[in-house]
Amino acid sequence: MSEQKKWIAIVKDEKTARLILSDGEVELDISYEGPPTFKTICRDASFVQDVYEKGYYRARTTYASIELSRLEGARRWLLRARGLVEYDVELTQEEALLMALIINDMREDTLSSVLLCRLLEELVMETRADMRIAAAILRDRLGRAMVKGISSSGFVEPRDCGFIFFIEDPGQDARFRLIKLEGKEITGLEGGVVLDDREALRVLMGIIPVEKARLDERAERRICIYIIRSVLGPLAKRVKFKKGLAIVKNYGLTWAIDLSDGDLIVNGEHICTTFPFFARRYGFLKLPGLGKIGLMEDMASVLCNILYALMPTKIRDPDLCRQILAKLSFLGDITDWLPCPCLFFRLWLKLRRWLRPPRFLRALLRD
Amino acid sequence: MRGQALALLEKPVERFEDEDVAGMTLAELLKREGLLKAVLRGSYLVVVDGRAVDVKDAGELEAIVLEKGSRVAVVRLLSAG
Repeated sequence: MSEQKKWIAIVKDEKTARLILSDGEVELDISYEGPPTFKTICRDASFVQDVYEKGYYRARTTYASIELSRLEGARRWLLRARGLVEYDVELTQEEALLMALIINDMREDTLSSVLLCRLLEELVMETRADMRIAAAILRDRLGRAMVKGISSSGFVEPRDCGFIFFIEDPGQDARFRLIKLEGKEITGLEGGVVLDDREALRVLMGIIPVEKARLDERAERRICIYIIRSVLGPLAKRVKFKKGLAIVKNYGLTWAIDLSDGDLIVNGEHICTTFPFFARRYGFLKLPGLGKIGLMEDMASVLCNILYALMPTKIRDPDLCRQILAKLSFLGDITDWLPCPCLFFRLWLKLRRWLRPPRFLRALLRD
Repeated sequence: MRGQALALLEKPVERFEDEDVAGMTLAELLKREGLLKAVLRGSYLVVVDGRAVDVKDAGELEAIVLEKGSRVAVVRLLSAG
């Protein structure tokens, strides 16, 4: 029986631990998302030792089988993914061990979310190795990964700006269909879109299908703006886009809508809007050249609030009218006792319009 | 493999017009999507070419005939949270 090699763990700083194999063959710097506990470092050291001794690690995620194996006669390892993602990457020993550790953590995360214990787990969960290391390794080493989603397919390539998903078949995904058709205009990339780093890693590890991946924030915002402009047509001229907000000036009020989640802010006051609890369908769009696009909750929320901002008289929900009146009108808390809040709301809007000083006077006052 | 993938990307982009809405009435479109009743109940806001459609009965929806290139948005209405 071969003698087991010893590992030395050194805490470099509050978020980094260094594992050194006794003969100095391997030196591994593990960065954590938060300060690791002694138990975490021991657990990780034992896992790394196990993978190092076996020279092999295999993990099965929801959509892929990931295999790490030491190449014979070399201090190189091969990372191989098969399933909905397919790629081969050659890694150094240190990179391979770090990848094994992160894949193991990610797989455990998936299992715990499947068991609906994620929230409970968060309370007692130990700190995990920082996933950004794996993203950095793959950015350096990966050439191309073929990716198949539920209905879409294409390939992921690392570039300076991040991981780019080049779409071959957009399938049923509305975002990918838009990018495939108008990619140059929306993202500046022909048929491709930048994925969020963390999400790209989850796709490459087969944890989520590519359709579920969040895109890069800027790309998401551009898609959103493109859809808003397409839907509103000439009305879109009244909407200004600034710092992730769609801003509409109407009835002397400034309506701002957060493009990421559809939050509504009127004259700086947050107005709480939500879909009914039992709503499962949020509507659809029919745009020329794009066909039907089914709306998801966030996009429907953004569109509905923009339409409310452009046409506030269309608000039919009495509680919503009450909320706006209570926060912005002279009526204040009295609105709770109003019998027809929607009627009062429309009257208040008309009153604001009538009592508004003429444009030249406003310009004079501004100057 | 790279050449193959690039060739795929260079293919002329197909428009995803699986159907043409020209000549169809708004009522027909909503019925096909299974949203006609919900729209008549007032749970959705219908916008055609940037104009909100005031829906009072099915007859009004029948009267709106879509043209080639029409933009239709049917959005679930938000209520107070």
